[in-house]
Amino acid sequence: MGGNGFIRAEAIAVRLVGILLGLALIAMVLVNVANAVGRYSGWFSLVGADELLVYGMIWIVMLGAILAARSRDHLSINLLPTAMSGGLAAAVKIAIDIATVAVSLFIAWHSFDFISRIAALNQTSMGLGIPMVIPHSAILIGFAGIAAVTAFLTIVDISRLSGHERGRK
Amino acid sequence: MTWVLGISVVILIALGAPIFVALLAAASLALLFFPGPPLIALQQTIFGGLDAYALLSVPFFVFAGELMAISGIADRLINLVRALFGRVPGSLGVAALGGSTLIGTICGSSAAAVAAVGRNMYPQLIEGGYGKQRAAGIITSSGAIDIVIPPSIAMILYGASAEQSIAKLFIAGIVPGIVMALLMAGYISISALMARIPREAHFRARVAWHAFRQAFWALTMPAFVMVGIYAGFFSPTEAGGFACAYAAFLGFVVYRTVNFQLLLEAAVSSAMMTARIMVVVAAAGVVSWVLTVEGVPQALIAATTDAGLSPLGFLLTVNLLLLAIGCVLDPTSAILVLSPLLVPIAVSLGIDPIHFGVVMTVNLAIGMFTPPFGLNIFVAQSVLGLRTSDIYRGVLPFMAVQISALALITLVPALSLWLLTGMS
Repeated sequence: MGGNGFIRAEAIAVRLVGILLGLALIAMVLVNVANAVGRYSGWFSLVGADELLVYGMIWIVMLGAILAARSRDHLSINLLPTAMSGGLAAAVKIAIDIATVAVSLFIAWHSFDFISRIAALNQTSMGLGIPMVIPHSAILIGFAGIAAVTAFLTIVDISRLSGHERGRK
Repeated sequence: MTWVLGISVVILIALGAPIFVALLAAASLALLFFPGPPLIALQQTIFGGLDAYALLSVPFFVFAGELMAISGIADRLINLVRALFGRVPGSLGVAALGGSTLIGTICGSSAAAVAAVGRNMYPQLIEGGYGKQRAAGIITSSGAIDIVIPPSIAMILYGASAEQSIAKLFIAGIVPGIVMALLMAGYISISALMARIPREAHFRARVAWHAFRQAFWALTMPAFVMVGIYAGFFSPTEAGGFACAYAAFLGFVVYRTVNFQLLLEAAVSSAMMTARIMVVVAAAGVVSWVLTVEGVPQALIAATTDAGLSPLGFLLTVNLLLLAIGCVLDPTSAILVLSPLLVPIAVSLGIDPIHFGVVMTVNLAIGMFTPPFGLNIFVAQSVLGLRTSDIYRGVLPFMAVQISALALITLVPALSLWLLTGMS
């Protein structure tokens, strides 16, 4: 696959994950309303609905965090970078990206360790009875994904910066 | 260890690191270099920070706000307020403020209100003789009231972080929100009189009735949500779900302004906003855990007791601290990082944690439009297309007005607690 093919595939993947998150949120609203109506009317009760909603939110948060890392759209404050010169600002940006990769890998590693242990114990959730590995994996996948996309963006930034420097020489 | 954590967070945030990265990096450094708590607990702490039913109301109210914007509910509310305030000096400015406050009763997002009111009212304010700076000041500062008026995302996060009832916080925010709006309205009217801004056309019952009919279904939405929570029909989380369903119903069936494509786009945007907020919630949970394990809140309580700080002295100190922090840090992060530290001290001094939550929220609401980095300033800049220097000058008088409101809310706890006492 060439460079353009990769860019197209990546854009489609980002769009599809975004749509998946939107559909999941709409489904959560429907479950929440149906559960409340059923409970108050006494007609029915959705067993494990609260658990499903919370675990759904955790997956939305972690997958959304990967997309936000991809678009460099996480909450941040550009207190100093706006006052820095171009080269220094670029260096700081790369350093922060490297820190993001390191921290995300650190969390993902310990998450993997934890998930391996609860998988061995076959722990299940109280309401839905699903293996607890499923909701906990959101943290592992989320931070591993943040590390992967940030590492990719860092490599692109470094190659652009070095290309720019070569151009100036 | 505490110093390493605190200094790392400040440096990383100042350098522009994503806030969740700054919090997690600082906590990780503290855990690596000062071993104590087991590292495997990191996963449980992050997961536990998100595994809370009360936090579900965040995505639901964010989504309700998005639906309100695309369905035209906001515009109808603004038009109604405008029709009602025709006779008042500075009526256009007061209408912008009133519209923003009404929008706040539906969604807990200050930025959404600034965007909706800015798009609708800014051209009319300029035409009405308010000038760029005054118009920008009104729009930018009015939006801050929305995080005090329930439903408020800041209060949901405070409730989850400080383990307080979100429904009680919502009730406690009503009177302080109205106090802020009334003081702002007073200032807008007086300054419009002094600046000899021409009044709008007089109040016309027929126009007001028409605007009321247009806005009727939109007006039932805050009533539906608020009455549902306060009458105990549903929890704040369920109310968030109902608010989304109701806004979608209005958009699809009543106003016919929404189709599935728009609904999906609003859902995607809300999911992304939720992710950006909640990943900070998860990271702040780790910092809070490290601080608790290290006994920092207890040490701060002891230091406050030794210093002989009175409850009022503590509240005033916290006000100064939060006003300063609010200038550079968004309310979400500030509440999540500071609540676990400040609430135990407030409780140990006999301050009601619900009143303290309102004081914290009002402080951070002011921070939303305080130069140089208040979030609303940047939203207004993108919507109104103004220079930040114009917006900075415009918001200054409104900062003074809202700091007066803050002083009143701090000194008179009954403003926050009266409605709660009355209802109980």
